[in-house]
Amino acid sequence: MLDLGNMSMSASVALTCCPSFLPAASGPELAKSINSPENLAGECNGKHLPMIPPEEEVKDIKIANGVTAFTRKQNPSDRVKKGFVLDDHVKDWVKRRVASGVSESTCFLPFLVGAKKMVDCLVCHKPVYPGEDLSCSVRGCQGAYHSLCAKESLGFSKSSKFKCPQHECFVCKQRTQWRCVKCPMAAHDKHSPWSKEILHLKDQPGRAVCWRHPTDWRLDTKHAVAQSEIEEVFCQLPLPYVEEEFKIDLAWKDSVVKEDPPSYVHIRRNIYLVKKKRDNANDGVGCTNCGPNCDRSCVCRVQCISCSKGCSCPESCGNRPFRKEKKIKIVKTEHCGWGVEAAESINKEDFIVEYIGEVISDAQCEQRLWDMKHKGMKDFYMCEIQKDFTIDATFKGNASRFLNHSCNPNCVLEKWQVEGETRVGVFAARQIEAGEPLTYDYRFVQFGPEVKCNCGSENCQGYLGTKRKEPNCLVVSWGAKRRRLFHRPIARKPQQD
Amino acid sequence: MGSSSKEETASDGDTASGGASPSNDGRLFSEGERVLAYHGPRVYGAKVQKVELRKKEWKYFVHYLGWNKNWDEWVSADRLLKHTEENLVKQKALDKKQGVEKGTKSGRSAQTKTRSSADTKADKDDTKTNAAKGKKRKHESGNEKDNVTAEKLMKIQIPASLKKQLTDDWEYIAQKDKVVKLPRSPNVDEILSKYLEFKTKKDGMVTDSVAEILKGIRSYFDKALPVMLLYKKERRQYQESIVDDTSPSTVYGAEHLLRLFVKLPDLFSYVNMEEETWSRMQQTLSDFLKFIQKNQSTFLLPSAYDSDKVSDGKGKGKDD
Repeated sequence: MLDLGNMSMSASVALTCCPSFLPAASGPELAKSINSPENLAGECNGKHLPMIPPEEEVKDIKIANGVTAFTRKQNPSDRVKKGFVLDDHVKDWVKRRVASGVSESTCFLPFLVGAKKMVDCLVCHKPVYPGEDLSCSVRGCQGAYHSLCAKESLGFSKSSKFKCPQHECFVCKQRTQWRCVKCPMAAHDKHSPWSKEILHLKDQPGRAVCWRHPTDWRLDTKHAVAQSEIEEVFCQLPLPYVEEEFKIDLAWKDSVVKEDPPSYVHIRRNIYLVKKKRDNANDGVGCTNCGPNCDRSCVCRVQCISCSKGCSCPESCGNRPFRKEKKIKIVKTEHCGWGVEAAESINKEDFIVEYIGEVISDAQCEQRLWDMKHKGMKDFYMCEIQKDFTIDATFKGNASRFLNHSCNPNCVLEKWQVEGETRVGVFAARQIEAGEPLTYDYRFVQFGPEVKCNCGSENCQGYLGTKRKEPNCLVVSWGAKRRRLFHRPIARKPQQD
Repeated sequence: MGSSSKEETASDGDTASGGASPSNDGRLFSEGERVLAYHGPRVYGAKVQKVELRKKEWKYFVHYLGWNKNWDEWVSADRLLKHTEENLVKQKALDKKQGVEKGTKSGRSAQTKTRSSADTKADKDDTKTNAAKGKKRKHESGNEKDNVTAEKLMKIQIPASLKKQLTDDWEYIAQKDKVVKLPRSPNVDEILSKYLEFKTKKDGMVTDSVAEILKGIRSYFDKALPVMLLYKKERRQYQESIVDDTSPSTVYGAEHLLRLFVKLPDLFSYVNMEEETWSRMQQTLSDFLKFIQKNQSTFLLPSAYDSDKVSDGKGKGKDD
């Protein structure tokens, strides 16, 4: 509290400039200042700063000076602007309003002049403008009425002093027990027709909400006629009878824009929580008749087996897709939460990124799903590959977990054997340009509420997991006679992050 | 006694009719109008037979429908209610309570039944009269409008950055024990003035609807702030800052004005508005929010919040 007082004092000191410094000076210094008026400002600045030893006061003065400078700069431009633009327009508006029949007292914009609090008439609940108000003659009464309302509804004539009806019981005309906050009614409990429906306000002794108003304050103007006047609309906006604390929507705290993607542990290889079944990589199986660079005709390529040590092909072999990833970028999308987009041009059938996570069994997968449901988590990052082999990227993974679903995707997930280990890769289904979002078909198995699809493609199915209406035509580009082992994903990441 | 009172009533009536004719201004109920009137603890259906200005106050001579003329009396406007559905519901509720009480007295049950049946007949006649007059259509159309309005919720889209501001606002006050330093600059009045200036430049003149809406926002903000726009920890600050009839719009700033826009969509659903007014209101309020978002760096400052020093002092007092 003291600081606030000091602040205002410093401000006033700064605003009045030099003369207020003089009383602080002693006699001789005062004489000196008077003797040399041309150097008055300079001398004051030089001399009196040391005379104020507390740093806080010095800071306050500096701040105040800043405010002063700002104010001086601001005032002329403000005056010029308002003089030419706003004031003239407001006067013109007032003229037009008066010409159209509205009384001049209502053509009044209180926020332009910083007017005091507008009070509402207790009879008609409209604001009482200056010049048309009528005050009660009882001392201390703050009731406000229109002269017209007092005359019409309360039977008041101008010859005598006005006494509002809230000072006596409307039945026995004696001193009243309570007064209504919403209308001119005042009464005793025993004289009230519906004494049980009177709502006494605990924080305002002697005040109540009488039987003529609904218990729910929101329904106070429920039966009014449909309004076309904006002023009437604001007069009919309901107000609580008692003080209520302000509360914001709790969902907003969650939906606030996050600058970073949700946190996860970044890993570079799958983490096995189940026993790892490792095939023998040195059993002699490998391509034998391909040329120096493996291509689509290679036996391993057709079977989605990466060339390994068992192959005799050189290091420049083209059938080792999991060694180098394409450049991708995690971005915030408009409708689908976080997503991934290509940072470079990607050719068809190129390897983009590996889908990495924790490898769990079916039992563990089900346990985790129920745990998520219990915690209320809504994002799923699981990819079922085969029996007892599900890659879960919920807690640990890489950027591939952010790829969004699309009914017209530009990527596919493929299961590969690399050095005897099963790995899942994201491959390009077509030519992808830089900046294009990467998507694949989730083939969502619904677990929990239905998730609406926002992929925006023409053949969108509407919801994730909806069965495809068109036939699932396979585009077999490697070995027409062999069927690829398509994975069956379960509970993928929905697109509303 | 009865006859003398009748004579007095008749003479009063003669005096009224003989004297100056009463003016139409100031009368809440007209002659022949059907009303509801308090009598003791109950409300009865009644009809206004005469209207007179007595002792500078309008008095109405009412006849209680279904009851003997002996009960006719002069009443003031305070004891009368308009014949509306809402008041009828109240009457029925009260009748049920009183009905239970009277049920215990078997001696008067026959009379009660007779009177209630007479009242029912009168109600039916009145309903037919209303149908003949064509009020039914108005009533139905009113219902339709109410239904349409009830389904509507004014969708004032709050931009994401302003939502973040509201979340931060909550964190500062509810969790970090800070409050907005007052008086705030720019205050609500200045923000509304800036918007009017911005709109005037854009449209070339002051639009009626914009001026009225800004006036309404200012008026409602002053009323709503103490009853529903404050967190609990801000109430003491309010009592210290707002003294006498100071307008909160000259003290508080955009932080609290933004909270009003959180409440407005829900509150507007309880106001019966015409379609045109509805869309105009929605458009202007959405535009105003965009204006605040555009000037967010000047209207909403993180440095506006400060720790509550009074509470610190209070804490020290407790320590002592």
